Amino acid sequence: MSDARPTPLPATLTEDLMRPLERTSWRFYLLVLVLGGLVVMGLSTWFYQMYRGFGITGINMPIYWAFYITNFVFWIGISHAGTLISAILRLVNAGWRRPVTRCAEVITAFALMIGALFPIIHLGRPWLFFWLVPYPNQRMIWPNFRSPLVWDFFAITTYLTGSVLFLFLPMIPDFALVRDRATGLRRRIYGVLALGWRGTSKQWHRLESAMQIMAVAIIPVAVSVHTVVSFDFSMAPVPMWHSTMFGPYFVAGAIFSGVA
Amino acid sequence: MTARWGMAVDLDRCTGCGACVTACHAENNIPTVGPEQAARGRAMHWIRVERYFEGEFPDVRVKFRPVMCQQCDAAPCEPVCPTYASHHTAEGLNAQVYNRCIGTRYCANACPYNVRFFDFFNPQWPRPLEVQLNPDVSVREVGVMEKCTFCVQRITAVQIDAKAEKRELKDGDIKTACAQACPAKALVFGDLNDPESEVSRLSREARGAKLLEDLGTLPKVTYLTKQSEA
Repeated sequence: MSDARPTPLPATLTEDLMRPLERTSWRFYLLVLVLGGLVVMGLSTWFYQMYRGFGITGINMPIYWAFYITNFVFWIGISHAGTLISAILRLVNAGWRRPVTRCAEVITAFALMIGALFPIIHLGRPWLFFWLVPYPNQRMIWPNFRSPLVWDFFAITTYLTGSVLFLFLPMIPDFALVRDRATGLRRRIYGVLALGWRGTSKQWHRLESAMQIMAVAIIPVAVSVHTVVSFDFSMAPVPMWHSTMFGPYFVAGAIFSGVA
Repeated sequence: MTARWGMAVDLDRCTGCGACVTACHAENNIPTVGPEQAARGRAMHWIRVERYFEGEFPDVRVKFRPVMCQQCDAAPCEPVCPTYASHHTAEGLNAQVYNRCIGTRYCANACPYNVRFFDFFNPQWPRPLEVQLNPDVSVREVGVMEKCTFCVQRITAVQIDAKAEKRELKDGDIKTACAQACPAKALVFGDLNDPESEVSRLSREARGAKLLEDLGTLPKVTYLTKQSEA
């Protein structure tokens, strides 16, 4: 962790930290099996939905968005956890945050990835989801930049990039620690991830400044992401949706669900 | 001058017979979803006849209002579509490009008139309706949005004919399926840019009103209120 002093850790502590990386128990495989089974179940229902037609979801007119978009908003809200706990507490130098920081940052990155899946799952023709993405193409067809869904795409990719960086930066010294103990292919992989970390005071200093910059930069990004997600609703002239309240409401809601 | 297609609906003339709904289904290859889906509220009627009842039995009055896409000039469905599937044509129509639609269903959420319909399943027709499909209109696959087009296939066909014969379009040359089928001539279709056309004349009438006018969507369909209420 970035706040650890650049002194070598006591040997027993390192031993304890490294154990899950070096040995895999049967419990881990059981967990992978159970969770993998859930993923397979989800995928097969999704393919069944595509095969039979979207109608089997029970979504109806005139409000054509239902649990998929609710889930999307929920997961984007969860993703607030890392930014809030980690970035804000890092800025105010709250020491008690240390044990939960890494956990919170991981939640941010993965909750965002899960959240971003839902708008794709909910599409009528999900195999064409890349039409939401501005990619260069021969016929010069671009997405409609007035559409809040396209704003969503930009907001989420920005936030995802930012939070992955925010997760990765303080992990560099840890990668170096694993690199120094591992052998073979593992050593090479962690060597790449550690980006040549030697633990010099200059490196620590640079890492600290990078983390400060990221912490300041990611807070407005997080606030804007949740506001943009709320624009999906407030930009449509639908009773109860069409409201300037939605931006702050979603941000506040995200803070609550993120902390929880 | 390019046309600006619009419609006038005389509510005094509408008898609620539903001929426009049937004609629209036949003209535009609209799938019949079957009783089960219709019961879930998934029936697709690009034009529907809304019924309003007033008073207690036996002293009941019923009013009809055919509602189709209002072809708004400031349409809420258009800016929200991420792929430009829902877009504005030069002649003011709210076009829907089925091939470009990926089914975000955002347009249908945004539409205050609920006149956009989602294909929840691949289209199907009870026999023998599947043999009367209109070859001028594409059949929509599952997962796309569809809506009233003001019978754009008829508009284009007549325009092409007129160009080939080097003549000007006259008012009444083009009729949408609903307007053609209406026995009471309650639906009048035409060019709003031509001040002499019947639809322009009717739209200027004092009893003309738009649906949900205060939303600022600028619909091109004008409803002529009943004389008894005007």
